Amino acid sequence: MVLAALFAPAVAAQDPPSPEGVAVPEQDPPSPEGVAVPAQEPPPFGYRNLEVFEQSLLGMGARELTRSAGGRPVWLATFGAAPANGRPAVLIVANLEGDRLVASEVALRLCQHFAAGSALTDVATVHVVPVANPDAMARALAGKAARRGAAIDEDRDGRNDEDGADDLDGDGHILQLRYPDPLGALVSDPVDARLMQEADPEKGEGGAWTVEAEGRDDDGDGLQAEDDLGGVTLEANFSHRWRAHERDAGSFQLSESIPRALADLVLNNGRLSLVVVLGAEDNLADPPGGVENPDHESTSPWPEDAQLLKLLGDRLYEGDQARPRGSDHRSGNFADWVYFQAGLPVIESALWAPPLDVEAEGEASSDEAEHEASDEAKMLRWADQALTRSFVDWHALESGPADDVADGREGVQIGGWLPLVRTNPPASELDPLGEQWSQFLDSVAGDFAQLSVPELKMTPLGGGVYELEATVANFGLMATMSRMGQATRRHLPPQVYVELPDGGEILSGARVQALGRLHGRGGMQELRWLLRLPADDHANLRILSRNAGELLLPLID
Amino acid sequence: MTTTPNTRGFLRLPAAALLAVIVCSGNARLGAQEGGGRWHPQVEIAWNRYYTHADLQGLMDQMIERWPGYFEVEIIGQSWEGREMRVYSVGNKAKGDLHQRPAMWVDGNVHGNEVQGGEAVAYLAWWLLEHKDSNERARMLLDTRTFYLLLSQNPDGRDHWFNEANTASSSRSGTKPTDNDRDGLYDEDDYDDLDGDGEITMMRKKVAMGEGTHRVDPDDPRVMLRVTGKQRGDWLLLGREGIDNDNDGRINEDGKGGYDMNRNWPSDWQPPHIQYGAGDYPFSYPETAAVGRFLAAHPNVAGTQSFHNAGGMILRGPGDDTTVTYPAADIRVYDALGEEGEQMLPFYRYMILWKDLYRVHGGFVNWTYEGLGIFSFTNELWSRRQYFNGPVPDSLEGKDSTMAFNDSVLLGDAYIDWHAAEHPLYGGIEIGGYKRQHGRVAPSFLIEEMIHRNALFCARHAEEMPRVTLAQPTVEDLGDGLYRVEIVLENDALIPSRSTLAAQEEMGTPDRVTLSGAGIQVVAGGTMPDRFRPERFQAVEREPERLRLERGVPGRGRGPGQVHLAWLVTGSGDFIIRYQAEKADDGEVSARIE
Repeated sequence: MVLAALFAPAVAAQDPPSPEGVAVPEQDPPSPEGVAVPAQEPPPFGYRNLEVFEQSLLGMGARELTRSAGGRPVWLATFGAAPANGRPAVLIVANLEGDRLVASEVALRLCQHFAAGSALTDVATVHVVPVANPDAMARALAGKAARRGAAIDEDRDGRNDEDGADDLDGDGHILQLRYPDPLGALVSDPVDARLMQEADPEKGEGGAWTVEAEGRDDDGDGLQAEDDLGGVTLEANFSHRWRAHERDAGSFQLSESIPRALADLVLNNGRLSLVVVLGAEDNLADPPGGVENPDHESTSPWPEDAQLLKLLGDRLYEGDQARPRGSDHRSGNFADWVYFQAGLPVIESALWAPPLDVEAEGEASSDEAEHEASDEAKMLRWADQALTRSFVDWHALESGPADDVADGREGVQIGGWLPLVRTNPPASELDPLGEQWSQFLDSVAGDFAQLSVPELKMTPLGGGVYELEATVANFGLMATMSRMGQATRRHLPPQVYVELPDGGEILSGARVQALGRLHGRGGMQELRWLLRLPADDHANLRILSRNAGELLLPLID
Repeated sequence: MTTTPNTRGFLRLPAAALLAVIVCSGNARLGAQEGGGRWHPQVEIAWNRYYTHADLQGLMDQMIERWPGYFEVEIIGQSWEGREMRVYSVGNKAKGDLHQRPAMWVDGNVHGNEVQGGEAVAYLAWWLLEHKDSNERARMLLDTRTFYLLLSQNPDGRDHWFNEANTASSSRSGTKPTDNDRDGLYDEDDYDDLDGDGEITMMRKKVAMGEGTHRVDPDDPRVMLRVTGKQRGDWLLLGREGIDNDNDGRINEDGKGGYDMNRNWPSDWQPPHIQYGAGDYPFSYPETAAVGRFLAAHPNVAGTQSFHNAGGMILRGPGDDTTVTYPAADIRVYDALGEEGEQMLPFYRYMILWKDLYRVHGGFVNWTYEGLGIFSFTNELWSRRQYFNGPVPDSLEGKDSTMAFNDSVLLGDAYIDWHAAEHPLYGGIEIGGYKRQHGRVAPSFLIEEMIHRNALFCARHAEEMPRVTLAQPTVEDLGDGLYRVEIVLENDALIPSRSTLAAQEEMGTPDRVTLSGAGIQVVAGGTMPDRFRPERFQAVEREPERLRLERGVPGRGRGPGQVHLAWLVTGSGDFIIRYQAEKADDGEVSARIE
């Protein structure tokens, strides 16, 4: 199994998708080459389960970074040359949400790419955490809402997790439950009656339906599924814009083991030049504008740092190529913490989003013609055509649990979107995404800050005194530190040392000095010293940096 | 519990009368301990000195040996250097589980140099235990409350302050190596005790007239004055004793540690570029993490005091006016306690951190109130106004009070006269100034007064933690088999069982009141906001047999601290009403419907 795990896609085709019990239709899996077929099985079909991820990562020498609240290991794989002074490092973290299976799949493909040798690993040490939230991913693969961090008492009744969602119709998915309710807030979508949307009183609409999570009132408190398994959202547990008393943000910043381990990993690795976060949010498909002096509540980067995102985004997405749509900044998320508190450049990608431009099949109904389709209706139009299943039609419960949940209500139905289809593509799209991101990250190999000394002049002034002038420059695309990093002062700036022989002395200038931030593509700093050297002796100029190279320049031969 | 003191109106007593009450209240049970007005402590402790962390723990060991029925000890963690951090749970174990009662958390010395908080913490346990047999209120406190005592939140910094050369203000940090000057080296340029006298004082150098920044005070040659206007100086003041250890052109720029553990707590925590010393994230130091774990595991903590020095302050949050607004009802509680503190602590002022002192992000007592809902104070022990209990006497006029106190009351013991020394960079210099024990900590002869008043302020705070009792329920027959059961919950302390902020932010678990009985069916339940108008009964939507009181039981203040509850029930037989709360004693009463 360990050997086989090196070839994880093949293993995935042989193994059931999840030990947690996702029902797999008896149908051929997508071919390893990832050729799309007209109508495909919905995710998680064709996605790998946690065991396959684990075996693949162990086969690539991954180590355990930490354990989840549920006791599962979180694996960290490292590629490229060993860390060394001057050598940049990259950290890739995927699927902190748990149900962004596509992020984990792409990250594992990146691992395989790096393991085989790549342009990026030639110049950088690359750390990858492909499954950042294994508890939630296990839940997602099992068709349930993502389990998150430590348990919380959602309904504040002094009991934890006592009333979770229930699969009432036994179809392997937690969907939604609806019933006609003249006081409800929802009406059917006029374009697609399967979808529910909020009634608009200003248009004279009255609500007709109430929708709740599929479940029963396990604890007899009159509420259904109000205190589900798990609680803290890892993507809300970081300390930038952390929200005290928001129930799923955690009892304090970095209260959860995984966020804390990731924070330690970032803060203790002074060589990180870039952090890549694959998940729900995106800053490349539609890069943010910049603001001067972002404050402690900001989600907008400095203009200089926004410019880098735009350059990278333009490289990744050409022209009108389909782009993913990221979620809004979740307060307390990882990527914002990396940028605003650790001060490192961070790129985020949601990788994929359901197309919204699929034409309706056949003739448009009168409703469709009359109303503009909502984004959700457009997604469903795509899903109906692309997937064998995507939306479970509303259906009455035939027996048994219906009485449990009805609670005197008439016409209770179960139905709704399959949980994963709006956030994860059909499996056939995974290989192309992996290839796209492998190429993109390899292209970043040429972008790191790189120090050089284009001008170095030693001028004898007489009496053994020399004027030393040096210009230190950065010709990489990236600055020697992000503009935010300059503000946070978390990282050691490059240092310039004058090394003198015995008897030598510095008459003017500092023996050691820190360089300021050198912007990309030609940021420069001029330095000057007066030195007194014994006749015919040697001196050196040494430049040390964390991640932008090291230089040793002899001053007199 | 028939001798429970009536503390109502107590706040209006002047401080002197207050102390008299405390001393006299035990007269009826005067024992050998205080016979004839003599004072014979059962555990002899010298309270006119300061102790290392190990010696302070030794004092606690003596108390534990003498009063084993009043202590539990839990090791909550270890400091960066491995010193054991013990929380002493102090209370009468014969009266029940110490962790099921309202508890008062008291710690000291999160800033390593602010040592006297440690002695104040130990003194609190000692005084209560010494007086438990002669003072009814001390006995009641030990019987009904628990004191969670942590001698020092920063034992490394404390011992470093004692054991190495320091100033009054250095060794504030913990001792985890930190690169304060961002040169890749850690703690490589600390102070240097150039004259080897065990103190870090000031350096000065004589230069030609007109080349200096300072001149000697003509009235006192020890005092250096900065030149202004047309004055000319002949001295350079060169900062604290030290050399350029790392040859980077700066002196003393990266000393031991270099962070502030009282900025490492969750409430409004901000990273180090916004808040100096904040650490990597909340609870990133072993000391703060240990305290955080303990408090999270003990929701019965209903009062907090964290001792600091100096300045004579009784501080409360918020640390910043933009992050949280303290509800008016909670401010009334704070004000009542703080104003009593001003009476108990002459020369101390009751102050609000951000407004009256400075802004703090990630402070400890900010977190205990804003994050945990606990009424919390930080006292800054010792004020220079105490040198002469007032202004400098006329006979010493012209001197600043610090020097005058040194010269007269201490015969010059606190000050090291300027004396010659050699410096590798500056050459011949002079070194001199105040010893570390002067300025921020009380001199030996005033230590006991300082720690007594502060410790007893904690005792008063603890007396005002919630004390909820359940009145006997009443049953009214409404006809046709329906009954109304009513009960009054009363809290005769100042502090509510849940702070208003805790209720607003839904911290912790609300108080719960259940009605149960084998033959009883609960039809409805809720609160009775107006005892005279039963029609204003506010019935809950769900689980009427298990009422949740988000706002808990209010404290006395604007009228009695009461909650009226009612249930409509059917059936007959015995029933029990149970009250459960995180920060008040649980209780129950039973009654019967015939």
